[in-house]
Order: sequence, then structure tokens, then C-alpha cells
Amino acid sequence: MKPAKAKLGLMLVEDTPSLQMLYRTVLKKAGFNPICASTGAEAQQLFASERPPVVLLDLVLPDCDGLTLMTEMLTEAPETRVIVITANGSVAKAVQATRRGAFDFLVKPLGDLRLIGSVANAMTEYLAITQRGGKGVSRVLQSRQDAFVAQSESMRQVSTVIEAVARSSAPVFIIGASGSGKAACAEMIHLRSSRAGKPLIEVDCGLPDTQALEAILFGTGTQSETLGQSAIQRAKGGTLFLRNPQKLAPQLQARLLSILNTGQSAEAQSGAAPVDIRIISAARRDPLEAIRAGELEEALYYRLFVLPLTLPPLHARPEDLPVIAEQFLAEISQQEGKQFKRITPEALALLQVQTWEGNLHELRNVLRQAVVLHEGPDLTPAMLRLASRGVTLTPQSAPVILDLDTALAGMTMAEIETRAIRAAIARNGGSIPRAAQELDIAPSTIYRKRDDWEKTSA
Amino acid sequence: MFPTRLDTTILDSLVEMGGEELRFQLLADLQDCEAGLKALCLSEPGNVTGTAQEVAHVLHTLRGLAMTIGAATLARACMQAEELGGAAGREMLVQNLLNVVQESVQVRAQIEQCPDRDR
Repeated sequence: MKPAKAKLGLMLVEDTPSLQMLYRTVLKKAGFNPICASTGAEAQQLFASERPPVVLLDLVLPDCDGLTLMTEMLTEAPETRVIVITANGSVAKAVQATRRGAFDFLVKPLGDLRLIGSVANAMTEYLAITQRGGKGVSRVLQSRQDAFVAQSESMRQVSTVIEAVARSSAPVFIIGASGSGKAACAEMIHLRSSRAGKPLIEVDCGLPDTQALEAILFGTGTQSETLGQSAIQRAKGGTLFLRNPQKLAPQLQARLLSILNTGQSAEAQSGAAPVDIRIISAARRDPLEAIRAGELEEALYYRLFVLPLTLPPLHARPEDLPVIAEQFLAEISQQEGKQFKRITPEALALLQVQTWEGNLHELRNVLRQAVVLHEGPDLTPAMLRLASRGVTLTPQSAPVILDLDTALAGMTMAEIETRAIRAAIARNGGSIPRAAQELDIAPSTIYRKRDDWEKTSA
Repeated sequence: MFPTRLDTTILDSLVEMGGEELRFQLLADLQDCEAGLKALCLSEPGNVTGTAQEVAHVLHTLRGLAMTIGAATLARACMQAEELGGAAGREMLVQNLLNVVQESVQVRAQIEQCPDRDR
């Protein structure tokens, strides 16, 4: 790992000599070899001559504003990953930096592991981006945010909505199929909000044990002592992410509603306490259905369903699949110690015609299985074990010109049509007009059909 | 004894990482900040001669240092002075800055008393 790190440049911009010395020491011990600048002017010079892919930048410098410097660097070299450093209490500025394109922000005092982890992530992402061809290929977001690699129009719209709702403190309700990236979406909203420096606490309200759920969520009930602070307490100042709130038992729905109505939580030991949390909820389907089914209290629905956000399923954005699949392959290959470098066009074509009922989870599982069971550097069709109807490939399969009759066996006319259209869109790099030309139909026909698929899958 | 001024376990781990060279640099940086603040507020008694930006920069640097070495009281004092900033009357600002300097001197004294690892 060390040689790879050493080959990639890293610039540290910190004006306090002892802190520069300390961070440099930590980074060197982890195998990095940073070049250092103490002023904005020095950083500008070094950046121009060395073009380091990753920059660790203190936001407060003696001769210039760190945010301005960062913007200049990103304008000159957008693929640069800038990690900003700020003092505790200046998190608002760090969040501002994130909105302007910073990869990550670190708050002083910096923990060794956090520092090294952030730099390593930045380098991994830089490599992923540049290996895909550099500028303009896609915007890859950090950690779990890989669901949002967005070349498709639908995901670009989602990203715009995320930026908008992050600026508000009103509750958000995310609707999306299993594996479509709801948790990543909640994380992105939180990280882009003014609450980014505070906790993001996740609770699955579908937990069957009502007493345990009550203790987890509200910190009361018979199990509260063993479970410690409630999720509402732990999310103080931050965000509470509720999965499947429609599954809460009626009495817990009433308690949650009371807290949201009064802004106060009646804790067992401490009496009424003000609640400062933002709520993001998520479910697979529109919660209106749960109201109709008598499962969700209508008043709670109106409290939670203020800013709705719908995530498209993977099959509705085939143009994103190649980039996501390549990123997953790079990550999984690294995790498993394998040398996979690319997905062959044949394998990619096969991946693009799958229905991906399990969305990103399913795609990740298919790729992991291939990586674990085979050696790279190419991922070929024969390595893919797909659950597609009529097309189960094994390593023994020839790398593969599928028998069309076999592949289509058991499918309805509508399924065949859907697959043909999706494959054409994928072959044409996501362009619906070009796909329509290839299929000799009007683009409006594809747009209409795509709307129908999305309605069906929602 | 210095009960809450400096968390010496944090300082120890830093010195273990960066050696005595780091300790000397920390002391030098603290001293520079103190000198900077004194220069900004003591050249004219009862007045602050530096711009708000200059004062804020030194306080910010000192706060970053204080948090890194586990000097919580000093970090808090810097933050309070930063928050007061231009809103405070000159006299109050000078008093705040002098308090910060005094606290920094005490922290430095405690760092100097910590055993030298290289000996």
C-alpha cells in the first residue's frame, strides 16, 4: 500500500509550524509523503508546479482566505480532492467549503485515524476518477454516496433536490425501492446541511420488538437502562433518520407526533427536554398507502412528509450503471485483494439488461461474487452469476453470445419490449433520441414508456 | 499541580509521535502567539492597535494549537475573545486578550515542566 501512496502527491497547507510538523509526522508514518506550504502564496506556487491530486488545506491562512484558494485550485484542476481543516466552532465554514466542492472536512483537534482515513479515501477517489478518464466523466461522492454517481438526468435532478432540501431544516421523506440508496441520500442531506458537524442517528422503525424500539427511540420502557441514551437524545443538534416510520406501533407514533408537535421530549428521568433534531424518513413506497391501510397516523404523515424526494431504481437509469459498476468493482477488488481492472463490454452489456430488483445491493453482490470466485484483470460475462430469468451464466458458459430464444423464454411481451428499449438506451450512452433512432420509433414513445416503468416500480 | 489547564495525556501522545522537536515547536508557537497578541494590544495601553482580522487570526491559530494539545481552558478563552471580536468595547477586548496571553503563558509553563523524553 505504501508505494502506491508515495507515488501520489499530497500537499499540506498549514501555517502553524507545530501543527504542520505534527500532521506531516502522522502522514509520513502512514506512508504518505506530503509537500508542505505555510502560506496561501506558497500553496499556489506549489500547486501550480506539483499539481498534487490531494490537498489538505487549513481554511484560515495568514495571507488569504482558504475558501478562495480552494476554489482557485478546483477551477484549475477540478479532479483535485481538497480536504479542508478547520477549528472546532468553525464548522459552518467547513460546510460552506463542502458545498463549494471540498471532498471532506476535518475539525481540529485532528484524530490520527480520521486524518489518515480521509486522505486515503481522497486518493482512492482521485484514482477512481482519473482511471475513468478524468474530468467530466462523473462526479463521484464520498463513502456510501456511490449511489449518486450521476450521468442520468433523473439522478442529476435528485442531486439538485438534495442540495435544496439540505439548506432547509424541514423534514424530508425519501421514497425508493430496496437498495436504491435511501441511507446514502439521507447521509448526503445531513452532510450538506448546517447540522453536518452533529450526529446522524439511524433507527429502523420496522423492528418487531415494540418495547426495544421504544427504548431505542425514546429511551423509556423496560429496556432503556441497558440501551443507554435514546436515539432522539443522541441525535441532538443533528439528524434522526427513521426507516419505515409507517411501521411504528400506534402508541409510538403518538409519542413521536407529540414530540414533533411540542418540540419537547418527556424523558423518563429528566422531565421535559427541548428537542433539536431534523428528521429524515425513508420508505419503499409512498406513505399515503400506509394511511389508507390504517397503518400510519395521518397527522404524523403530515409532520414527516414535508419535503418528498423520490429515488429512481437502478434499471431506470441504465446510463449510470457502467460508472457505478466500475466503481463497485474497484472497491470490491481492493477489499478482496484482487487485481480486477475493467469490465469487458460484453459483461457490461449483460449487466445493463438486468432488471436489478435489488438495485445497488444486488449489483454489488453480483460483482462481489465474481471478484471472490475469479481472478482479474478483466471481468467477463462467464464470471457473472445473474438471477435474470432464463439467463443464468456459470463459469462454464461460453463467453457468451446468448441464444435469444433461450434468453427470452418465459418473458411477457412487455418485459421483452422493456429490455430491448433499456438495452438500446444503454448502448447509446443514455441518449433516448439516439436509442429511438436505432429502434426506429419516436423518442416520445420511449419517454412515455419510461414514465410508465417508473410509476410501476414506485 | 495544574488540575484542568492541560491534558498531559494528549501532550504525551503528541510528543511520542513527533518527539521533543515537536514539543519545542509547540512552545515556540505558543510564545509567538502570545507575542503577537501582546503586540496587538499592548503597544498602546488600553487599546488594540491591530486590525480585527489580525487579532482574529492570532486567536484562531492559538485556539487550534490549544485544542490540539488538550488545553481546554485556553481554547475556550480564545473562542470567547474571537466571538467578542469587534462587538466588544476596546477595554474589554484588551482585557480578554490579556487573559488569553496569561492562560497561554501558564500552559507553556506546564509543557516546559513535562519530562523531556529524549533525556
